[in-house]
Amino acid sequence: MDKSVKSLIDVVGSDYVLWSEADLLVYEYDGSVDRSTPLIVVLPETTEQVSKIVKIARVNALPVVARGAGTGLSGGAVAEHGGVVISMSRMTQILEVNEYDKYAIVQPGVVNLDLSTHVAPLGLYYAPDPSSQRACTIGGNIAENSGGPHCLAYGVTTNHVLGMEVVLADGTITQFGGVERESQGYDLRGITIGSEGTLAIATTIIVRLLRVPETVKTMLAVFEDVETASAAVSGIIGAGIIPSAIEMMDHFCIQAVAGAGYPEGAGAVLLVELDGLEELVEDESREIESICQEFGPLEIRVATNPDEREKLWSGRKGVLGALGRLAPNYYLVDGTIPRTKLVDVLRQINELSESTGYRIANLLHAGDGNLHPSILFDERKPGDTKNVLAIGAEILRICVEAGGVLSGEHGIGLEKQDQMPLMFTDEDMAAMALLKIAFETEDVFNPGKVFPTGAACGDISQARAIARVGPGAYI
Amino acid sequence: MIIDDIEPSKGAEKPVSLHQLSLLLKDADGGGLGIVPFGGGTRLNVGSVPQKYDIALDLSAFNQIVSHNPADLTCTVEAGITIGMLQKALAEHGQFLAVDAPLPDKATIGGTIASSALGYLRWQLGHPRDTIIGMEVLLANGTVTKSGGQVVKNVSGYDMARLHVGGLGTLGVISKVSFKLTPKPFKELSVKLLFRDSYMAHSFAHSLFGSSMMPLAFASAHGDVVELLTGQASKTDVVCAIKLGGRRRACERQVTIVEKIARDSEVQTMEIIDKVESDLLWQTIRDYSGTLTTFDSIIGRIYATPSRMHDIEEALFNRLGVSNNGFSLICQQGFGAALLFIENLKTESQIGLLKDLREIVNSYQSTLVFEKLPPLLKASIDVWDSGTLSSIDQMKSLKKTYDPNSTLNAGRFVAGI
Repeated sequence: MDKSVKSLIDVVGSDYVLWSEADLLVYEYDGSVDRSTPLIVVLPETTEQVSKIVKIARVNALPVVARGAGTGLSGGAVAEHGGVVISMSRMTQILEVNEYDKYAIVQPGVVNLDLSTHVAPLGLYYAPDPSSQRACTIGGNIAENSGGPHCLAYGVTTNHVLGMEVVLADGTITQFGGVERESQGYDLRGITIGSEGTLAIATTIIVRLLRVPETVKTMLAVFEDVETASAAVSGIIGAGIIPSAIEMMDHFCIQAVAGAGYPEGAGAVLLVELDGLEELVEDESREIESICQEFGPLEIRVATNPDEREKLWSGRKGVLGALGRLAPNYYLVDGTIPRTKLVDVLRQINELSESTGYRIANLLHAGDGNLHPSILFDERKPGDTKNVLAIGAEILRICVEAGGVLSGEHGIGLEKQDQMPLMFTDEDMAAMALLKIAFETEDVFNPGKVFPTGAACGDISQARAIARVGPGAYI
Repeated sequence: MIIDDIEPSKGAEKPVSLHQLSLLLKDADGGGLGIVPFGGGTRLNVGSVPQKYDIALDLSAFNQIVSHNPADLTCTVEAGITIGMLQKALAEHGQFLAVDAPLPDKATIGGTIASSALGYLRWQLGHPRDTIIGMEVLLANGTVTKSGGQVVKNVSGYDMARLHVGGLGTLGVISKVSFKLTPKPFKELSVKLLFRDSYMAHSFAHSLFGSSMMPLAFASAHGDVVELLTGQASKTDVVCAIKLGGRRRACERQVTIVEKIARDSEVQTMEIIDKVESDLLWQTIRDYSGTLTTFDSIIGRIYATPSRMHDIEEALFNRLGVSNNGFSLICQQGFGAALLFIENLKTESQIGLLKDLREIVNSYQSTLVFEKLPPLLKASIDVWDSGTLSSIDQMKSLKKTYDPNSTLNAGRFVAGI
């Protein structure tokens, strides 16, 4: 047995150190196209165990990748350079809930939705709601600075984390932030969130909780095409209304979720949600209806009870899985653009679809300009995978050219690292990379992520994907 | 620009272009000089005495709005623009930036962010640091770098702006900032309440934050400042001010909620104030720190949690009550922050008082930073509460990495950074 395995077994016990090929297979992938087999997987239960594991890995010159539920979509949890994967799946405790100060202290393996469910009896909830919230973990949310449909009004993970206990690359355990809303000194908490596991591993997280809104209202507006729906979005925001969510789906998505109650044959639907005081929700929902009417909707539907609300959302939540009805595989892109560029960018994406012959289903967080074009393909057809990755790269180029960014919520990871030069100069990236020096990571933590590998834009990620994508893969 | 009785050995420099600024920094960094950047100079008292101070770097020439995209609710501005100028321009489009620092007609965006100036719009609209979506920063060696973007949701690359919010300009000089903006509320008003003591005021606040509403702003004022707000001096009365905003019916409902909770908390008086008077009330509260300009006045900033704040306030007032100083506390209820104001701190023997106050705050696992202190006293007490700071090594490592020659604000930050 490898001596590092033996050392790790001494820390967590033999049941929680995986090193056989069969066991490691489960940890070679996340929700992205990339795969790479780690050398060892360890499942600790405490911060101290995480610290010891990191020290052992470092002594043995092994890179370390922290892993939550493995739902990430950019390769963040893939052990690109092998090494040790630290799975947080045993660190699932909610350690404290402070109702007065409205915070909770949780371990990183706590599932996002489970936290809200746990504090619901107190009339509280945790606001960031990524679509994968039934599976994704708070630790993973920290790494990717996850968002979700309701981040339009409530912000993303970094707006809801007060502090965390972390393990650094030399095994040191320290605290960033705390239970207070702000603190003196550098915002080490803020700089770590969204660093994709490359600077520190969070082992205890202090999150801010919000009071559950008094009421919520969900509306569906159906339009002839995405252009009209986009104009309606602009109208809503332009009226000074910031709903808690505005989601848009195009005709491909509507077709995929046939049976969810969305009108078939519609060009686009908007799912709009408001929450807060009853008077606010009533007044604003009336105004939103009135604004939508100006754009000649085919239909406007308002949920009148929780079941109807659930039904309106079920289509949206199920759309990615339902794309399987249209094609065996899809590649999900994650660019964000200014809201005002929606019409123009969606038109360009449509032109790209026509010129390449690949259908692109558009699902987007319309309120904040976060697009999720899903390129439909069949990985069994020769050349399809290579083609869709090229289309994805082109879409991101279009987004950046429109004044947008490469990633709204999925992170850079492996998937988009070679496109970072579209947004950042060498000096910008060098300044970011200095953080790894400041944190003395010596590339122990999640190496080979976020920053370009040095090859031409897109070449590496395409080559990697083509080499590794296997049967039945979807991205 | 004199800081802590020290003049810059080479005087002030006021670059007018990014290229000029970059060259200036490069030369200073290469020549072992010490730079203190400033904008409006409203918060130069924050921080320890500079270890080296050769150039006062005046950034006020960088005062343009680079872009404002009303339909996207975003803008990008140069760091030397005052908050007041920016808010005026945004107001023309029915928008504002949810940052409400003191003395907005002088305070600049860069200085406000770098010194993490305490404002009062942080409940419904979130923390001011969360309004920042992108930043351009010059490193100590003059390299121009940027991070973030001009969209409201972005996880591309590291969130570098976080290093500079509250970083006191010790890791870089902020030159441009991009923000997400907020539509102006359709209606705004305030409610001003008087409670007979801090216990009832805190009890009221706790109930309010347990209700369905979230105010735009909330402050409670105790001590000498009460006379300024009510016209009548009282050592025990506490004034609470709540700013509400939204549509008409929602505002009316919020007022109803406040009224009920206030009555249950034995409020003495309650007054609903329209927007014009509300703006004046909040200006008084926000700018109170600006009125303490005398040499011997002190401003302390408390970082705590809402649950600890009442006990901290009571203990501080008991200690201050036996001193001969005028004092006030303006507390951000429901947030856990407060500003402590002490006047007439005449002699060096008052160091004992300041140490007692810090000890009191620390005993509640909280932090007391002195944002304004006479320079002579800075030699005897750490303005920062470094004893409560964690991750000092990592903070020092950041400084060593980004400003290895200690060019920027040398020695003025936490732990001697």
